Amino acid sequence: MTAVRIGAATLETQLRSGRFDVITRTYLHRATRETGSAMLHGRDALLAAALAEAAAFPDATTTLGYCADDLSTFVRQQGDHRWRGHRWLAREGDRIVHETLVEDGQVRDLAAGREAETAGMARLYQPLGELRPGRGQFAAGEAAIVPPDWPAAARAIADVFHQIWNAKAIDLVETFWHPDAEWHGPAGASGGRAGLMRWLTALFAAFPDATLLFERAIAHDNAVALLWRLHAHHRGGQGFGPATGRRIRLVGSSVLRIEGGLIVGDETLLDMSAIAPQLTMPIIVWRATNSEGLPDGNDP
Amino acid sequence: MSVPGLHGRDIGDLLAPQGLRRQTIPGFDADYSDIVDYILRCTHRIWEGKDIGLITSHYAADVVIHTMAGPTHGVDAVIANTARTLAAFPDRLLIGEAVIWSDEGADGFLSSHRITSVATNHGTSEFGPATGRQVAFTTVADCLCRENCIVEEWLVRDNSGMALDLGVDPVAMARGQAAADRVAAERAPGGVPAPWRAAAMARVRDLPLTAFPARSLPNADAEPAEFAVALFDLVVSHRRFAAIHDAWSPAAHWQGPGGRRLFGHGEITGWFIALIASFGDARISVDHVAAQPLPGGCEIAVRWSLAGTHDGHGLYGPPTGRPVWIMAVSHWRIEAGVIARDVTIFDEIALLRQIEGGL
Repeated sequence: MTAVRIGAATLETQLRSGRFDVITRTYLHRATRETGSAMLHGRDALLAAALAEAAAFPDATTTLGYCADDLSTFVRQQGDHRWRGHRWLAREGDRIVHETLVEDGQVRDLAAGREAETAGMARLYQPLGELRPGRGQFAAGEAAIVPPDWPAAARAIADVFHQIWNAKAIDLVETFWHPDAEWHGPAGASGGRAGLMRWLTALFAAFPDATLLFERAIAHDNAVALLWRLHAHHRGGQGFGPATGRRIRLVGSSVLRIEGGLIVGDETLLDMSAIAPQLTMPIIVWRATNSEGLPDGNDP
Repeated sequence: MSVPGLHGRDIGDLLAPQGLRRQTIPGFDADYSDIVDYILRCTHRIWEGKDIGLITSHYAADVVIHTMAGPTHGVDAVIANTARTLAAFPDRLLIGEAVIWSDEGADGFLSSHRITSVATNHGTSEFGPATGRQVAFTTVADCLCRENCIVEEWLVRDNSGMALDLGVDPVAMARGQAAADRVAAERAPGGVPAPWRAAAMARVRDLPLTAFPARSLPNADAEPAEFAVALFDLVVSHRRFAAIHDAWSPAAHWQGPGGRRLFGHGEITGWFIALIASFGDARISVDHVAAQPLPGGCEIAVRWSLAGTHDGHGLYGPPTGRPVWIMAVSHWRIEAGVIARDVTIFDEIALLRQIEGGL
């Protein structure tokens, strides 16, 4: 089948209208998809997932938000439930080779009438390494650590996010977000600057060493989109049950509209439904038990 | 004429007739246009097309397949093992992710073929009775190819990841294999188990340690082999883990045994430190490097082996004091001069089997 290069908005529209052949026409056979909880391998798996999604939400409507060539943002609604999603695309030539799909999983699962899915959850290993590698006792610093091909137009925004998330300078929201800025966050949360600051405070209370790691940026016109990872340890009890000390690893995405040097719109997604499984799933530790199946005394 | 890789090419394009030969590949069948085409097409024909008999004309009669569980010899063993795998996983799709090759002159071509397979376990396998479960696992086959035949192969498969997908405990499986190994060793002539493993370990351990290196690396795009050797020398031989910041992107993705996935400098550094924490006297040998250009960078395939003593906690539980040998392949995607994606595969069950006193 001849490859057709289509933008993310067209792809999203066709996927949501049941034109699943778009997957065959636009994705490579070896395409992969990462979500907050799983990795899919191969175009056939992506097609199966699209069909499952359509079956799970037969009456859902989709409204597109900000879209770039390699990014679509959307709002889905089924019944009283509305949830947001960001689909990041990576291409080789005309075809899509990878997508990272970040959705507001808590609301999506509610809409589907199901508990958070753990069956497809990536297996959970004993965590490795530190969150702020090599920095020791130094403070977070002012400059974000970004990949070498990071677009210059997204540099300043990365530094602001780094200060807020990694140095916990939450008050910078009042400096860089417009007083009337609109904020949409995970789990259906929304509001203005105050809402964002409250959400960050609550998140950092539960995960005080939360560290945002920058992965990719798209910047053009008056918008900057950031794809990032959040690594943290569950050390506070607020909101997620008693502290477990577990490490969580999440994929996050932010789309920011900028006017006059200030952020006037902020849509930040983090699949919060991926947190609970990471706090409760058994951790793989090789040879934690001896050959009789008894603990070897090295459980984390 | 250049040899196109997999970049941006769909399966329909890859397996369509390729027309005129694009590369001088003496002795290869006329319908193979280059070494990448040979690897992808014969893999499809044999595995997905089920033309298992084609192995006869694509493997040397005396082929040696090296794995961490030991070498197998001869084309008949390749045919038998392929049939066994397909009987257990009949719908196996072999999704080729990279073919990174090098011209070895008179020896032929070395192809480092990374495959992620998706399959359903419908029959009994080395992992046990059929489970009906779907598995996804990554394999790298380093094949030395000459005159239409694979004459030697180094095969690494993510067996621990496969076991976990099947609901099988990799440690229990390794313990069972190790117990059988010990019984076999008692019966072995002279009581020397697995002489091939002893030789492989000695080769790595006998390599002279390089002088303490400066924290600098060759350009990965221009000198991929030098880059790979220098990087493992810095990070593994001399424990200069800080060099990970120089070589890997802060947004690097790492995929390893057991389907483990890591992101960024912190976790990747953590893996290397945990590896050395497990095998405190570990020595490493870079055994082969191949590289091919990509838009904006290149792909590098590094086959390496490590020998050491399981003398510490880290990745594999309480120390046993047993000697271990790892044969691994790392595929690095270089973008903007640094490693943006690292897929490192070795057979963790074979490693656990050694730790449990096997082989």
